[in-house]
Amino acid sequence: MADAVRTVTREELERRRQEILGSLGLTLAQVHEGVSSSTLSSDEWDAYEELDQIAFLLGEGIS
Amino acid sequence: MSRGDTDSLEQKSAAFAAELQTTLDLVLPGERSIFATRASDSDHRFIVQPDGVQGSDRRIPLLVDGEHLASLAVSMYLDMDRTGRHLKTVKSDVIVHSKLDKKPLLRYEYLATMTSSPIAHWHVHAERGALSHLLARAHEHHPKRVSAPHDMSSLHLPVGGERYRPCIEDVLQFLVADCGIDAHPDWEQAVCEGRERWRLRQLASAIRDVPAEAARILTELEWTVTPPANAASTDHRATLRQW
Repeated sequence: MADAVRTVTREELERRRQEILGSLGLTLAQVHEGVSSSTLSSDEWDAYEELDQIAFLLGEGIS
Repeated sequence: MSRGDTDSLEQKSAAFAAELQTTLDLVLPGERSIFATRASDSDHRFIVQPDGVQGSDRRIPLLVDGEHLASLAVSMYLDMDRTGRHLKTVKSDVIVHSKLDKKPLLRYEYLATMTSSPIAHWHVHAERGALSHLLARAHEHHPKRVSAPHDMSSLHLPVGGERYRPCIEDVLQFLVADCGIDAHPDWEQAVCEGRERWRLRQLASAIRDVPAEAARILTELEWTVTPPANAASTDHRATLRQW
């Protein structure tokens, strides 16, 4: 059952976050603003979900 | 936290993932793998969700007579509870995405620390002229409370708070029974069994919130209940008051 748990490093999470934001050309604040105003594109919705998860795993809180 | 405690949390997150895997596999056709992920420098935060390199890969296809019309995203965030000994779900997102434009149709969200909106709520990404009319008029009077009058998805439809919120089985049944999504022949039995497990857990949590109330009911039913010495300190009814 332990195989069902995967571990990722802080560096991997931070690198992935930069990749996501870079591909969108947005800042984290702009993504969150897009959620509040429901103006996210489909790609941005994908990104938002993953960015939220990264923030949680990094211990930065959740929204 | 000792190595043994860490292993225990990891095992519990794995068990959580296995249970979600079983439920999804018994209800929805297709294959998927559910994993728990944790950061290497955290021993108590886990996310349980389907496998996939990125967000869109982690969605579960929802079919109607074999045609892929929507997708389901499920993610459960686990962290320590108030005792610091047990894992609890501190956030969950269950999102139905359209296959047509890849955007959400429905979002069922739970966030234990939410204060400005209901802890558990649905967002409905739809349009209704009469509702927009109501909200637009309300916005004129209360622009802060009604901030997005033409966007129905900005509303948070409350669904029972921390203890009485719907479970994943409720969402799956909604998708099958109301939305016509394909399911395995015995899906309903799996849903009912999972729902019973969920509600018993929530009942146990609710009893821990207000054990004196549980004792009162048991006494009414002619059970004999003896309170512990610290009975007065075991009341956590704030959970029951939250929106």
